[in-house]
Amino acid sequence: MAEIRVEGLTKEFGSGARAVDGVSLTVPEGQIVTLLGPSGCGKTTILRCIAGLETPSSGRILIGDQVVHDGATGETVPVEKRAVGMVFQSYAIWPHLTVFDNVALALEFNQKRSDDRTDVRSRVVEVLRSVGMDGYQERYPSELSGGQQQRVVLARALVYRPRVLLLDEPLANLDARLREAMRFELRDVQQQLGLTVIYVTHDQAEAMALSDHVVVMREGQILRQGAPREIFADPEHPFVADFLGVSNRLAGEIVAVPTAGRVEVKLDGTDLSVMVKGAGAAQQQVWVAVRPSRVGLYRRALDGVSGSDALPGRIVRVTFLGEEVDCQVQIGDLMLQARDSGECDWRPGEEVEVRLAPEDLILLPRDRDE
Amino acid sequence: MSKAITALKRLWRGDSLTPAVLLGLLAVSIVTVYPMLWLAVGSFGGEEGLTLENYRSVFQGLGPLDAMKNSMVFSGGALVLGLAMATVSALSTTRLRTPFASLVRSASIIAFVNPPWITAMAYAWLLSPQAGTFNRWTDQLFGIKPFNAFSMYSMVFVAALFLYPYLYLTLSAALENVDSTNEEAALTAGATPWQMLRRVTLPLVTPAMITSIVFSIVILWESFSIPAILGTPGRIYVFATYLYRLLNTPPPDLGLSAAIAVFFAVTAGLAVWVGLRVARRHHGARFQVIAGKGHRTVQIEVGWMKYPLAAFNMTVLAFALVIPYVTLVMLSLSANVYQRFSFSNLTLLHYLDHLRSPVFHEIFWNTLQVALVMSAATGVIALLVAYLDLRGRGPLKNLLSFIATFPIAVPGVAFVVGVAWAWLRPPLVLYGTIWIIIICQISRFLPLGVQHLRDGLGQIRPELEEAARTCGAGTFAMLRRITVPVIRPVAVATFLLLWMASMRDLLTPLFLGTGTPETSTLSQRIYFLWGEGLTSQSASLAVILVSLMAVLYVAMRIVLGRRASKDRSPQAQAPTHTAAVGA
Repeated sequence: MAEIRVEGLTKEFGSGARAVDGVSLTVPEGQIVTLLGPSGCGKTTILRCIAGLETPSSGRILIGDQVVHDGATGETVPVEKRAVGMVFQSYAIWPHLTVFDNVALALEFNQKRSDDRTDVRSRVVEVLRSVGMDGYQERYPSELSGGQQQRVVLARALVYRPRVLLLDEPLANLDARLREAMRFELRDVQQQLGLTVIYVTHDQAEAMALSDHVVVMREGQILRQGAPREIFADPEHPFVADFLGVSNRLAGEIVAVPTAGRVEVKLDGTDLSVMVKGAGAAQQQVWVAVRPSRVGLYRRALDGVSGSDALPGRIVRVTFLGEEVDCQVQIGDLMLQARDSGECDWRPGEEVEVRLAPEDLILLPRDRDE
Repeated sequence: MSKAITALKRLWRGDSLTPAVLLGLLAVSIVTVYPMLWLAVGSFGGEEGLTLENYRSVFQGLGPLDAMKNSMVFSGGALVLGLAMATVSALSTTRLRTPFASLVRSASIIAFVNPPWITAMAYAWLLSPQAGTFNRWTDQLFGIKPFNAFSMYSMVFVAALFLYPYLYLTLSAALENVDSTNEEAALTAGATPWQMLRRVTLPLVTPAMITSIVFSIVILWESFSIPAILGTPGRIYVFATYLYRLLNTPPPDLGLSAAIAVFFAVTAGLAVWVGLRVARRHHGARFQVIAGKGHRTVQIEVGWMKYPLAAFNMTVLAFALVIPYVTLVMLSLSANVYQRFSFSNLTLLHYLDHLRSPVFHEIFWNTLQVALVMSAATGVIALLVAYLDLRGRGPLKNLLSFIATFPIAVPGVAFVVGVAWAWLRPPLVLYGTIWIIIICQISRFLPLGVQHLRDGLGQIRPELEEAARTCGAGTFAMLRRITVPVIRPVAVATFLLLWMASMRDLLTPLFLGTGTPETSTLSQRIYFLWGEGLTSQSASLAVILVSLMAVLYVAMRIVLGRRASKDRSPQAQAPTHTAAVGA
């Protein structure tokens, strides 16, 4: 296994549109890095450039110590000599071959070059066992379920001990329950074999569950990268916040900086203000974002709200989701989404007290024209 | 300098298929564009330099204008009749619950590959004005002889029978592809089954119907064998037969025939262009039709109506298949064709005569040789074109697809005239050899091969190949171990389809052969014997040819069926539009 380094990668397609625009990232050996973003953000293109299926317009790609592509000199290592394992979203399982032959042929393709003449059969059986597919050797792909096909293509990508493993939305075609189970299995296999993995997905839960490091992309550029918890706690960018499920975003302006690390934000369109953890200067335009689960709902006493961090609200709509209830709360002209325990019996029209703790609020930069 | 080399290298690597595209362009333009160029040149050729004289003659003579009028009546009539019959059958076997639906389906596939000149020969015999079987029957029953085989009516009737299986197969395929949830939505919204059919189902298949009609017009416009067998004896000439007569009346006026051929080709091209423009307007709807996953179709109960509908389907198939073949077999077994049926009149003599004849042996091997060489060469070129069309980039591969498929819109007769012009002169004089027939068939059937293979290859996602590359396979290993095995079923089916198209092709050997055994094929020989009045000899040879095609067809089903259904490689498609053209 080896580290992957991408430096200043740009890919332009015929029309001049930049699918990838100056991306640099490093995948340390033995780690999973996820490229997360909506479709068309360039994540798959980066993966295909690393594999060698697309030729970058400029930039440098290194796998281990080997430069596999150098835009400056035009030197490039062809796909088949890069020794990478790749799993495609459509699986690309070879339909004319049995499970065994699918895996064995991949090994054969790779061994022509090296002199590593291990016993093909024992190697194939071993890798099929490691993905839980021993006993299916003689089946044809059409006789397998989606999850089983998934395991076969994983075995096919692992059998020749690739330096790195590239996964392009490998779980997107599975149903929700299987997707969750496969997440853990993938993580297990990766840990056991110490694989270096780049994982492309548009599913934030998948990214959080699997990765050592998450890279959030939009329109060919990296917006934010870091450990899952770090990004989750501090998205730093409105788009990243939205993509990670921080659905409440309120426009406002900093009116005061009472202490270091705290600002007071007046919410646009209201005369309400909230305290937010973060740094900024007065008169700065900002977004205040908050996760629905961090919006505290409390019954309101008849004589008004109980403290300075409490806002008066009214429940507009309640959706029961089982474990939780989803409430739409109106505060003045503003709408907030709140999540509460499923046992809470909120009713539409109820007057409530909304508490927003400064450490639960996320301060995000806002351009004036936004 | 080194920078320039790097840039060049990058360009080359950016599309590694470029050399293959260039190679394909060269090979294909020799067989398709080159003859067309000579046709154009020939049509402007005169005593001294270029002239428009030939085109003036086209519009001055009564012959060409008469032929055009006949072509229009013939095509229009056969299209209307064939479309009406096919629509009734397609609707009744897919959307109405009628008996024998699967029988209609399989019989139509057989009728589809059936050579049209066999049907024409059978009806020329049955409807013959004086001695025809049908006329004798009506004479005995009512004392009248109403039928005339050598009339526009019988030409239209037989051409409609020829068109019927093609239209039936394409229409019923389109009807079966309609996502039935569209129809269920209409039913739940309160539509009656008939309203559903009229307001939802039929509009959804309209684009497919327009495409089929466009191809039907091409098929009829260029149709040669039916008007040759049924029209020529009654001096009814369409474009194709008029050209044939012009070329066979010494001294042949090559300039005028080239001009007529150009005019003929341009009108056909115009029809295709207009038709496809209309079809394109429905394109949005077309994708909806194909979106259906569940192929469960809504079938309407029609009560007692199912009996007349089934009877109608059976009658059409009896006229298209059973009656012609019974007639043909009877003729081939009769010692004297003019005698009434009796067991003493049956003989195998005509077959034995053929088998003993050295001329037959030569022609038989010629036919196999032409079919084998042509199918192999066309298959390889078509595979290259289809592959580049799907995997390549840039304008060059579009040009390649275009020059490989445009002959579909060029009427066979016009194309053949161009081929004669092109290979009659240096650098390559092929006229008078069997090779001119092979080359001409390659160019005429290339569109069929390309379309069939492109449909099959289109089902193979590029990721299958990319997966091989990431596993360490070079281009050659990938092609050998993945691409070729996956497309093998489609490739085999295409090869056999081409083989059958070659065997039933009458036009090419008739126009380009010199009449000697060395340049004859079975179809040409059958037509020749028929024209000489050697009815039984001709019929028995036709039975031999059709048996050969049948053996091949069965072999195809076995080869394709043998591969386990587990192998999910794309299988052969239903016969395509291009397969019907060029008979």
